[in-house]
Amino acid sequence: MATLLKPAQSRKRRVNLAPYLFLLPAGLVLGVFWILPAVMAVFNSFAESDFGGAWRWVGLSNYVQLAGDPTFWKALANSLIYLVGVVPALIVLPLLIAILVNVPMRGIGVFRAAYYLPVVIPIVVVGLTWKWLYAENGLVNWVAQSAFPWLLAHPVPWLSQPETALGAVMAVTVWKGLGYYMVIYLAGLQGIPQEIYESADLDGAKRWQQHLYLTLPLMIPHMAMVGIVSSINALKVFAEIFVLTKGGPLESSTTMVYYLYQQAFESLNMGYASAIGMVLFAMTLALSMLNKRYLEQNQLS
Amino acid sequence: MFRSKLPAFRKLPAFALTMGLAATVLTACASDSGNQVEFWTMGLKPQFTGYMEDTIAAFEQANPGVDVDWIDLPASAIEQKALSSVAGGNPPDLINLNPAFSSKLARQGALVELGEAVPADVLAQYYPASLDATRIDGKLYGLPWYLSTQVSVINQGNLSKAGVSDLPKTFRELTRHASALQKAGFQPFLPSFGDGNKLLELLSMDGVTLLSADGKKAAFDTPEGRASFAYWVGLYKDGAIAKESLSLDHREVVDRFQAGQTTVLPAGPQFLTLIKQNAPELYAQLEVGPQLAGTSGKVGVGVMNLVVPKGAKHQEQAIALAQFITNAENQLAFSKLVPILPSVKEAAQAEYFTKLPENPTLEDRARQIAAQQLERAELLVPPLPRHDELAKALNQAFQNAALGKMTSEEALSKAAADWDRILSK
Repeated sequence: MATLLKPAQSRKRRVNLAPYLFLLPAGLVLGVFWILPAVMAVFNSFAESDFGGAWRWVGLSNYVQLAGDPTFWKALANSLIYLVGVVPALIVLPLLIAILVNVPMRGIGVFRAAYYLPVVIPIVVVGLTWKWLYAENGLVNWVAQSAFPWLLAHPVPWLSQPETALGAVMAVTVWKGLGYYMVIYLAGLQGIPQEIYESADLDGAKRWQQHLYLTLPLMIPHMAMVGIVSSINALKVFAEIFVLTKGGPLESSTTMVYYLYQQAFESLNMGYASAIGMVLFAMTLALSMLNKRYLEQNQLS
Repeated sequence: MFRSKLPAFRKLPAFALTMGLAATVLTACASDSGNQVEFWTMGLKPQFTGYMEDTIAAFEQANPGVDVDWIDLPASAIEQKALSSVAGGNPPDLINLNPAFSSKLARQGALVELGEAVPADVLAQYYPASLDATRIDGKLYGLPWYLSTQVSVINQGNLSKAGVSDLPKTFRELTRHASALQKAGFQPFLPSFGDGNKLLELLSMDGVTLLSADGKKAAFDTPEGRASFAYWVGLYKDGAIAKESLSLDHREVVDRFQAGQTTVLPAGPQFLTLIKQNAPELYAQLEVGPQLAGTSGKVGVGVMNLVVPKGAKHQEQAIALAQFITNAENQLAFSKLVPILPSVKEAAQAEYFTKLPENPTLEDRARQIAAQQLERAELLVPPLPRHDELAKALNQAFQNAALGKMTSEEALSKAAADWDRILSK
C-alpha cells in the first residue's frame, strides 16, 4: 500500500492533520473532564488528599484499610446482590413485554410508550413517587395487605428495615429499566423474518411453542447484550439509592458507588474514595471486556 | 516547495476555527470574574430577586468602585459547587452556606477567619448562639445571616377526633396521647431520622451533651444520655412513631403532615405559607405553639451563614458586603418578605416581631412565637469535627436499638466508642 501511495505521500501527510484538528475540541473536552480526572483518581487512590491542596503519598494504605473495612465488604456484597437480583429480571421481563407489544395491533404504540415512560421520568420524580408507594399507608402495602391479610398483620416499612430495603430499591431499578431493554428486544424481534413463524404455523406449532423454539434462540444475542449492559448499570447504581434510602437502614442498601459517594463528598476522604473507585473500575472493566469479546464473536458468526 | 505549502495554507481557516473552538471551551472553564465581587446565595431567585438587587445596589453605591456579581444557586447544588470551586482554587468571594457545611470547609482550612476582620462592636450585635454555629476552636468562620426557630404546627382536627383537648407542649405530653391518636388513624409525630441530624437534636433537647469540652470524646454515654436514647428507642419499638421515620427527611415529614397523617409538625414558620398554598383545608384546622420541648426545655435555632473562602480575590470587599447584608436594616427588610428571623438583635426586637397586628393570622402568631423563642434559643448541635461520620455512627446505633439488633445501652455505648475512634483519627 505504501509503495502505491508514494508520490503523494508528502502532501498526504499534511492533509491527514485535518481530521485530528476536527477531533481536537472534543478531544480536549474528553481529556480535561474525563481522562485527566480518571488518571488523577488512580494517583489519588495511593494518596491521602486533604482537599485544600495537601497531598500525601501513602502507598497501598488505602487498599489495606479497604480490605479491613466491614462497610466496604458489605457494600461489595450489596452490589453483587443487586447484580444477581436485577439482571435476570431485566433479561427476562423486557423480553416478555417486547413479545407482547410486538403484535401488529391498532394502538400498540400507546402500550409501547407506556412501558417506555419510566425510562424518561427523572430519577428524582421516580424516587418521590416510589417513596409514597412504599409508605406505610401507601399503595404497595395496601395491595399486599389486601392480597395476603393473613401474612401481613402490619404494614411493611419497605424502605426502613434492613430485610426489605435493598429489594425495594431493586424493584424500582427493574421497573425503570423495563422500557429501555424492551426497545432493544423490540428491534431484535422486528429483525426476525415473519416467514419463519408462518412455516411454523403450517407445521402446527402453537404460539407458545413458536416463541420457545424460535423467538428465544434467535433472541439470545440480544439477551446477552442486555445482560452485560444491565450488569454494568447494576454495579454503577447510585441515584435510586440516593433518592430512596440513602444507603440505610444499617447500611443494608449501601452499594459500592454509594459508599464511594459517602467517603468522597460526606467525609471528604478523596484518596479512600478513589481506592473504592479503582475496585469498582476493575469490576466494570471485567464486565466490559466480556461485553467486547462477546460482541466481536457475534460479528464473526 | 512553494506549491506544497499551499494546501496547508488553504486549511488555515479550518485550523483557526478548530483552535478557536478549543480556546472557547478552555476559557469557558476558567472564566475570570475580573474585578467583580462574586456572591453566591442559596435558593433566593426568583422570589427575592428584587430585594437582593436593591440591597446590592445600595452596597455598590456606598462603596464606589465595588461591583458585585450576584449568583443564585439551588440549595441542592451549592455545596458541590462550593466544594469544587474551593478545590479548584477559584472560589467566589462570599458564599451563603449552612453551618454544618461551613464548618466542614473551615476544618479543611478553606475559609477566612472573620473574628478579627469584623469589628467587635459589629459582632456584638448578633445573637451569640448564631455566631457559635461557625465558631471552631474559638475562631469565627462565618457571619450569621438569617435564623429560624421551629414552632409546633398542630393539626387540631386530629387532636379533637382522638378526643385530646389540651395542646401538647412537650414530646412526652404528645406521646402520652399516641395510642388515642393512632386509634383515630393518625401519627402523633414523625421525626425525620433520615436527616442525619434529627437524633442529635432530639438528644440535645433532652439536655444531653454530645461532645466533650476538649472535642476529643463522646459525652453522651451518661445516665441522662441513656435515658433520652432509650426514650426514643422505646417510642419506635412501641410503634408510637412510625417505622418508616428511619428513612424520612424533613421535606417528606412535611408532606405527610400536609396529607393530614401527622398531628404535630415541628417546622419553621415559613412552612405555614407552603401548607396554606398546598392544603388550604388542613390550614383551617391548624394551631401554632412553641417548639415541642424535650426534658431540658432547650429551644434550638437554625442558622444560615455567609462565609469567605481563603482563595477569594476580594476578601476585604466580601467581608464588608457580608456585614452590609446582615445589618439590622437589611435583615429587617428581608424578614418582612419571608417568615425568617434576623440574626441581629436590633432587628429582631422591632415591633414587627414583638407586637401582633389586629386580627393576627396564623403566620403572624407563628412569627411572634418564633421571635420570642430566639432570645433563649441555643445551637442544639455544635459544629462537630467529622460531622457526617459522627452523625452516621449515632444514627446506626439508633437503628440497631430500634430494630432490636442491640439493647439500647449496648447501642449507645458502641456509638460512644465509635465517636472516640473517629475523633482520634
